[in-house]
Amino acid sequence: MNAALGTGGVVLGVVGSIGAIITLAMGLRGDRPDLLRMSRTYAYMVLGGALVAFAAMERALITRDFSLQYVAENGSRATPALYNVATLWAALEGSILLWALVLSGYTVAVALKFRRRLSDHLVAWAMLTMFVVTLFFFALMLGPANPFRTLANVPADGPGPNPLLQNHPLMAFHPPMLYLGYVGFTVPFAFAIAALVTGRLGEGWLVETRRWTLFAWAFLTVGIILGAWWSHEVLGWGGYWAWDPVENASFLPWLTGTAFIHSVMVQERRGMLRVWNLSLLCATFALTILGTFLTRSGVLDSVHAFSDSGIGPMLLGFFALIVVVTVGLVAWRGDRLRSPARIDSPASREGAFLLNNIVFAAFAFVVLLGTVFPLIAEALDDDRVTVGVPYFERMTMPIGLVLLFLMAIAPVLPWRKASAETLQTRLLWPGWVGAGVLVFAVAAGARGLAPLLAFFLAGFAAGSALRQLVLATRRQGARGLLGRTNGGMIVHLGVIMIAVAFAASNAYQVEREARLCITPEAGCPTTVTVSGHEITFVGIVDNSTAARAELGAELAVDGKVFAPAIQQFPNGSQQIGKPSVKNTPRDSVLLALLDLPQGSGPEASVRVRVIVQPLIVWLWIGGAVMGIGSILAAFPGRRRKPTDPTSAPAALDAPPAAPGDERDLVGVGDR
Amino acid sequence: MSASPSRSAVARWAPWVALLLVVVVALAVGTLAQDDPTDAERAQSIAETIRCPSCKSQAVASSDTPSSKAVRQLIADRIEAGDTDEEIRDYVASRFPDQDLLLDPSGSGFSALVWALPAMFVVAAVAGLAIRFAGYRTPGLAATDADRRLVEEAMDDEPDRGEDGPEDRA
Repeated sequence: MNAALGTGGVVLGVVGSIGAIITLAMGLRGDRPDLLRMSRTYAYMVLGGALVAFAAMERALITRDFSLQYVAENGSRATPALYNVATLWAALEGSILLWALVLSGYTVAVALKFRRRLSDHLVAWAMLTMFVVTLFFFALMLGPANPFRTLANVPADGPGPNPLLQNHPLMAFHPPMLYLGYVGFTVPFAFAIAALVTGRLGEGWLVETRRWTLFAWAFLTVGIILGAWWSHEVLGWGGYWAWDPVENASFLPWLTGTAFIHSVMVQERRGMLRVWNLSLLCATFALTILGTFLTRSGVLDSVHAFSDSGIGPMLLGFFALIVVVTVGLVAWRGDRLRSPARIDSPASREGAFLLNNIVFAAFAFVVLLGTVFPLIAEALDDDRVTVGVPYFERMTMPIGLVLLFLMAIAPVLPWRKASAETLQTRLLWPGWVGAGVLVFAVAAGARGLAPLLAFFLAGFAAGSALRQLVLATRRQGARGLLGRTNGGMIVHLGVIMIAVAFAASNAYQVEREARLCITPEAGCPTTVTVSGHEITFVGIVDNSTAARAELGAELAVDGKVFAPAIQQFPNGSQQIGKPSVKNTPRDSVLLALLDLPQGSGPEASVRVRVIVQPLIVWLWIGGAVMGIGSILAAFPGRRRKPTDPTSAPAALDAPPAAPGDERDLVGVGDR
Repeated sequence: MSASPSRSAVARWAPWVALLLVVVVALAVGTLAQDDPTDAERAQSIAETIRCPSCKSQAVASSDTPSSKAVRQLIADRIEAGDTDEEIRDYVASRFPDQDLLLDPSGSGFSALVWALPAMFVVAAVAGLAIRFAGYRTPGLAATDADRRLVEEAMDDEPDRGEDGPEDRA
C-alpha cells in the first residue's frame, strides 16, 4: 500500500516533469503563451507527486511498515516519534526524496511568484530548467535510489537509524535546512540558464533572483551552523568542524554562493563581471551536485557516507551535463557578455569586491583540492594520501585573516574611487575598536600571533560594520537596519562572532581526562578543577528505556548538574557516548564518559573527559545573527523619494507593488 | 581641504601612528610573552596531526580506539625521551610503514602539489587582476590636449582649477 502510493507519487513527478518539459519546449518553439502558462499546473502536479511520495514514506515509517526495504533497514519499533519522522532523511533514498520534495516546492514557488509572466520566455526557460532538474531527481528515485523497494520477507523489526542520528533533536532540523539551501540555488541557476538562452543578459534576471539567492544562502548558512552545533553536542570531542568531505561538500557551494552575493552587487551597480557572476552561480549549483556525488557514491570515505549505491554515475553524469551546458552557453553568448564599464581604481568598492571574489575562489579551491586530492593522488600517482584537518587549518587560516581584513576595509570604500583622506577618516575609529579588542584580549591573557591577529581584525571589521549601521540608523531610525547594505553588515557581525569564537576555541581549548570517585576512600579524588571549573562526581544514574540502554553519571560543575552517559542501542554492539555540554557566554564545558561508570554506592567511580572551550556559544549566536541579517537584507532598503530619479521607468499597469516587490521595475528595464 | 597641507597631514596621520603603535606593542606582548607549551600540550598538538590507524580520517587526538591510545602513549614516551615534534611524527609514521598516518600531506613528491596549487592559483588570480587593471588604464579614455583646451576655454575665469577636480568628490 505504502509502496504503491509512494511509487505512484514518484511516477506522477516524472510524468509531470516530462510533460512540462515537452509543453514548455513546444510553447517556446511556437511562441504560444497558452502552452507556456501551463507550467504552473505541471508544477502543482510535480509537487503533488512529491508530497504523495513523502507522505507515503512518513506513513510507512510511522506505521512501521517493514515491507519497505527503506523502513526495514533504517526504521525500528523502538525509535521515538521525532527521530522516527526524521529517519526519512537518515539514509540515501530518503534524502533524495526530501531533495525532490524541496525542489518541487521551489518550482511551485517560482511559478506562483512569476505567475503573471509565465509566458515571458525568460521565465519559461527558467521553468524548463527547473523541470529538467526535478526530472533528474524523480528519475533517481525510480532507478538507483528507489525508496519504495519492497521486501519479499518482511522482518518483524528493523535496526533503526544510526544511533548517532537519534540522540539529539537538532538532527530533525539540520538536514532540511541544508536542503532548503542546496536546492534553493536551483532557482538562480535556472534563471542564469534562461538569461543565457534568451540572450537577455542585462541585469534584470539577477535582480529578479536576488532574494532567492539570498534565502538559499541563508538556509545553507543556518543548516551548516546547525550541523556544527549538532557535532559539538553529540560527538564528545569538543569539535564542530572536522573538514570531513561531506562538510566540505556543503561548504563549497556556500563559498561560491557568498562570492556571488558580493560580486552581484558590482554587476547591478556597474554592469561588470557578467561572465564571472554567471560562472559563480552555475558553479554553486554544480558544486551541490558534485558534493552529493562525492559523498553519496562512496568514492570518498566520510562519517556521513551512506552505503554504496548505483547513484554515483548518474550524479557524475548530471554534473558533467551542467558543466558542459553552462560552458557552452557562456561561450555562445560571449559577445553579449562583454561589459563596456571599467574599474577606475582598485581602491574602490568594486575593487574590494573583486579581491573578495579572488579570496573566496581561492578558499573554495583549497577546500575542493583538499577534498578530492586523495582521489587524484590515487589515480595519478597510485599513492594513498590523507589530507586532514591540519592541512585545511594551515591553508585556510591566512585566508580567513584576509577575509576579516577585507570586511574591515570594504564597507567604508566608496564606489569608483576612494581617496586616501576618505579612508583615513572613515577607518580611524573602526581601527581603534580593533585595537581596543586586541588590548583587551592581551590583558585577559590571550597569547599567540594568529588568534590575536584574528581578534584585532575582527574588532576592526566589527567597527566598520557598526559604523555603517550607526550612520544608517542615525539617518533613518530603525529602517536603517533594513536593506541589503545594512542587513549585510549585520550578517558581517555574525560572521565576526563566528570568526572570534573559532579562533578562541581552537587556540585556547583545555582538555583533561580524570577518574573521579564518590568518596576519597575509593582511591581517587572526588573533584577535579579544569580552567577554573570545579567538577565533582555526584552519582550514577540509569536512564535506560525500551529503545536503548543508557548508563550515566551525574557530575556537578560549579554547582550545575551535568549528566553525560553511555548508550547502547539494541541493533549495534557499539557503545555510543552521550556527552553533556553547557554553555555560558564565556566558555563551554563538555563532559564525556570514557567508559561505563564502575562500582556502586560509596565505591562508585567514573572516568571523564573534560573539555573547556572559550566563547563556543558565540558560534551559534553568530549563526543566528547571520540568519537574522539575511532576513533584514531581504527587505527593501531606504524608500526612494518620488522626486529621486530611477534607473528604469516604473510600469504603469501594475497594481501598487507589495513591499519588496521590484518585479515590475525590473521587467521593463530588462526588455 | 582648506587647511594648509603640511599641518593637516600631521594631524591626519598622528592618530594612525598611535593606532599602529598600540597594535604592534599589543601583538608583540601577546606573541613574545607566550609560555612554552607543556608536554601535554605538545602531545595533543602532535596527536592532532596523526591519523588513527584503525579509522578512516579521525585524528589520534580525537579517537578512543585501542590503536589511537597506543599511538598517544607512543607520543608521550618520545616526548619524555626528548625528541622534537618532527622526530616524533616521523617515528610514529615509521612504525606503520604500510599506512599513511600523517594528516597533513608531505611537502615533497606528488603530494607537494596539494600545497603548491593553491599558492599558484592565488598568484595567477592576482596577476590576472593586475593585468586587467593595467588594461583599464589604457589611454583610450585619457584626456587629450584638445580636451584640455576645451575645458580651459570653458573655464577661462578659473584657469588653474581645471586639472585635478575628481579628488574632491569622495
